[in-house]
Amino acid sequence: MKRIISLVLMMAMLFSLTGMMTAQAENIVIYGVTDKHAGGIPTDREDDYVYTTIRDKIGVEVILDDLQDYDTALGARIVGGEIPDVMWLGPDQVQNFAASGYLKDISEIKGTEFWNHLLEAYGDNIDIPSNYYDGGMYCFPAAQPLGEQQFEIYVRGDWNEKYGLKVPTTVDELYDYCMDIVSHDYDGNGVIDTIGLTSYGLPGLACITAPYDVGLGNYLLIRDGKVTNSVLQPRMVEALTMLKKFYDSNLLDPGLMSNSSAKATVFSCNVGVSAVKWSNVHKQSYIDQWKAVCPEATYDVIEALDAGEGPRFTIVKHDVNVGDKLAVSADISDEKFEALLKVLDYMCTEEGKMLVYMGLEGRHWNYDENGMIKLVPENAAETNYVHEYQWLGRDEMTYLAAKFPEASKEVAWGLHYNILEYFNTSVIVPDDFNLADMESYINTQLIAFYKGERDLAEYDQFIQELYDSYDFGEYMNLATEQLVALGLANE
Amino acid sequence: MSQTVKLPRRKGRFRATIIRWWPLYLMLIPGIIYFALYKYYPMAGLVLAFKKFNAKLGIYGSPWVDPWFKYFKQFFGSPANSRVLSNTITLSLWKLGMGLLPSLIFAIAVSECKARWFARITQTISYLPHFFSWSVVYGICLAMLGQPNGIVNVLFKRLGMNAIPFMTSNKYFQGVLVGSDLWKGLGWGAIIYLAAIMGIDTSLYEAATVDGCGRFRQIWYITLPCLRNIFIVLLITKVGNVLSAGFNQVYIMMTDEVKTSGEIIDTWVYTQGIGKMNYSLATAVGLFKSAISCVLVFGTNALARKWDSALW
Amino acid sequence: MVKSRSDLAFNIVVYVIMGIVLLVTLVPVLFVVSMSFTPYAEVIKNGGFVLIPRSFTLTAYREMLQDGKLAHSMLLTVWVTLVGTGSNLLVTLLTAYPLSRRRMPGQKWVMKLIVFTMVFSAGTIPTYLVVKETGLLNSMWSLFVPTMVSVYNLIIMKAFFEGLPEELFESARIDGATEFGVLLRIVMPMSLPILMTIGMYYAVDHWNTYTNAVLYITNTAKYPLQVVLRAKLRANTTDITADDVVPPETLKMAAVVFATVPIVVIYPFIQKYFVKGTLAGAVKG
Repeated sequence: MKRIISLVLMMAMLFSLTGMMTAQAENIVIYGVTDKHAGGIPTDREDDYVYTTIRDKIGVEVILDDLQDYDTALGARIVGGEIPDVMWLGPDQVQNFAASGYLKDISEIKGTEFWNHLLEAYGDNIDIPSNYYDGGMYCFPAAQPLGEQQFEIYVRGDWNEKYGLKVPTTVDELYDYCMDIVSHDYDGNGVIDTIGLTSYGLPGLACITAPYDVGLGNYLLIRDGKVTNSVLQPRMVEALTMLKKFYDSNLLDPGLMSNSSAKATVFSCNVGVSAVKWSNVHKQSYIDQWKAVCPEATYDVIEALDAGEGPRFTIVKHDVNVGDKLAVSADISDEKFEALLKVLDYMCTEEGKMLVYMGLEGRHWNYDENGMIKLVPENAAETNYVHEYQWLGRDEMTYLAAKFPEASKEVAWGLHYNILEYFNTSVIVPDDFNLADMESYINTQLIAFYKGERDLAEYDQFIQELYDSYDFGEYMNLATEQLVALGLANE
Repeated sequence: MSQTVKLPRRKGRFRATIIRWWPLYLMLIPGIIYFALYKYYPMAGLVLAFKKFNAKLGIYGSPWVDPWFKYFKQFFGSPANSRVLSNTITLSLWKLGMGLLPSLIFAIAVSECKARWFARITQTISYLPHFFSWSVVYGICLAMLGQPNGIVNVLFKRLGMNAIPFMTSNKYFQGVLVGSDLWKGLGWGAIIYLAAIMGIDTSLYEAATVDGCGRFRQIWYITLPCLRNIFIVLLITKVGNVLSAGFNQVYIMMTDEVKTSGEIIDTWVYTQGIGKMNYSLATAVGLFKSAISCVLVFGTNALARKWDSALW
Repeated sequence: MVKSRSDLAFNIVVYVIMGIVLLVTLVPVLFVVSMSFTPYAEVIKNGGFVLIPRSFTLTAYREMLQDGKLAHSMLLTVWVTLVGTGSNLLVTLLTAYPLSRRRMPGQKWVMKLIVFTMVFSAGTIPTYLVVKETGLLNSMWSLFVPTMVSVYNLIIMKAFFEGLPEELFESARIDGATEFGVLLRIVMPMSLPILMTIGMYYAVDHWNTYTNAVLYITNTAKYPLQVVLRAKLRANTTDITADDVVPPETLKMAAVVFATVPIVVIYPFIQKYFVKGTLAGAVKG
């Protein structure tokens, strides 16, 4: 036993030694942390071609760790006085960390040559208010991946064809369509058990409510230059009534509110309408999976629905470029910061951009005869982690078109449509305002309304409760003030 | 006056005590060092509850909050507070009972089972769920209790009954939480009782059999009294957790739909401080929880003294 | 002796209880194991539920094992489990035994102070700072030294020691045995089941260590098993571009099997000591 233990001990020590050795280097080393949890950065740094390429080209070593339980782990490091040189932070964290003095004010980059390269490469709409705190800029602007709430509405194309179903164009027609689905055995399994509609929680239900100009939750909207809120919208009760109709007729997937349910339902081919993200259905690996379950199935996107004021289909944030960003430790040395800028500048070049998008030219991708990017499928697994290095974001359309040619139609469809735009991300709420409680109350009550647990006649009373107990009035004033100051609203 | 008289005598007694007990005191040293260093020393950090924490300034360098009870006010002043508190207490009381009693019954059944192989297999399988992460347990719950394809609801349908929204209704959600907790911990909890049953003197049972005692009565008059001590010890240690109703479980299983019945103190704190490094709020709430637990644990212990099962 | 009717009823009750427990645990356990071996499409086809895999795949396990980090993290975890459990048991034993002697002056106070730490915990950050000050940060020692004694285990062990008959100690002392001798030659052999049980509690905690590792291990190359496994599970859910060939649902199940196997292997050996009455003979003497 003793021998085994000592053997294990020695091996452990050896491992830790090798770990220490890799950290030694002559180049300038920038240490960064991220929580993107991709396929995982290769254990051996020499296998990480993004690292080696940057080291060989720029002479800077970027050591990137993807931490598990990011917030906790990062918090502990900061408390322990070991702030990483660069870190990946959400908008709330940027504000909070900047206020606490953990971050470097990087406004000095404005107007430099790098700044121009940045805007040129990643878009001139990335310099947005949430990057700033008290006049200073505390994270690098970045082009963000598509908005979180994005989804498309899918129906079963094969059923429509086979049974001559009429594709719905209005919310009323959607109701009839779902009714039709649940009362027939279209999948032919001998049981009438098909689900009418599935989606992802409250944001997903916007497929029904967005046509009423309503989102389910605390969404700041601007109508006729005035700041208002989704819960104050004139057609909210109407939208909830419609939703209640869906619910009462058992058309909604009972597991709708849990995030994991929709994907499984779609894969089981047991649903008529699904409002889900293309990335959960139309990636090749997923298509293979659900085609294995039901080879004949096709999921077709449909036009957005109408409820009397033109089609509108989803809710997205106004500032698409709000999201996780790269921030710099306040303690970083000038030398390191300069090196960091060099690395980022490289990421603004076509070559550097392609490196963190797709990997190495020749090995992971090539240009085809039309100048389009074509991936090399055999080596695709090696590119699973590169997006951890997308520190300046990415140009989503080019990126997705090359990476997921199978979903090109669905991706493009989502982008060019009437949407319900909300402005929450442009409003910065002070630390001691209890937004979490307010939003959680709004969500639970909206659910109670459509499920019939609370009478819709009490809707006005609900709004009054928001003002009385949750400082809703103060929140709206705050929002109006800030959105007017940003020039987004008049009053 | 009296003190000056007492001192020398005390000193003498002290020396005698040391001489009599030194080997035991010696044994205690590593444990005491551990508790002093890793438990008591960091407790000074509880001042965080009254500070606006800034990592750069450190715990002690951070400024005091104004007013000093700000974080307590945030907790108690939240409109969700009473609901969150009552959810927590209801849930954890149920879990406390369901965590202690069924395991006890199961352990007795295992020890009384004459077919050893059956007892062993059943016991081994019964503790496996302890190792399942909560997200896997959630998956199992969906497969069993979900709609429309959960096994239970499919069964109900075949029997011509209405489906029951176990996972999505405020009416049933607490039941699901308690039930899955019971399921997960049942076999694992029985292990400790089994260890205790192993220690019971078999001659007691033999004597009882001679006296004509049936096996039900043997359990009532021998097994249960012998397990009383360990039961009370477990009760005392668990009572201290009454304000922590299982963060991981609730966090994973709760959706907006069942927040009204499911939100507990710890999940509330989590949503408040998410990503904001709001350690002060967490510390303040923790302090409140600790104070309550303290009263409960020391109170239960005082009660336990009546049955001679107190911890001290 | 007449087999009474009550005896029969008793057996029925026992088997009914066992049967119910077996059923409600076996079905989900089978579900988890089968799902880890079944292609996801097959699972979905079956309405999300399989008990006996009809087609078989090892992709989930292959996906986990092909990661170079896994073998390494497993070695580290084995080390922590062995060394950690050993030292935990030793210190817990040494603390529990004196505390089980109620006549020892100061016993009450030490006990009160220890139980106090069970209800008043210092919180993440202050504890983290102490771990840092004591130089354990980023070392495998940080995974068991800061949790050296679990108050819960300590109390249970102490309660068992208290159950040992007082005469034993008296007679041993008359024979001139030292306290260490009593502990080594009388208390420990008689408490094997509880030592095993507590040892297993500690071992399981170490095998599944997660939170402390995330906090105290700053070099991700030294992450223990559970952290690596969970990172693997999360890997494919955060960015839309990540490609998950093996669905996370299946991976999750495989991870559970992975975490459970060692204990399934070890427990039967411990169970050997769990035979009723093994101790009774010794106690009578």
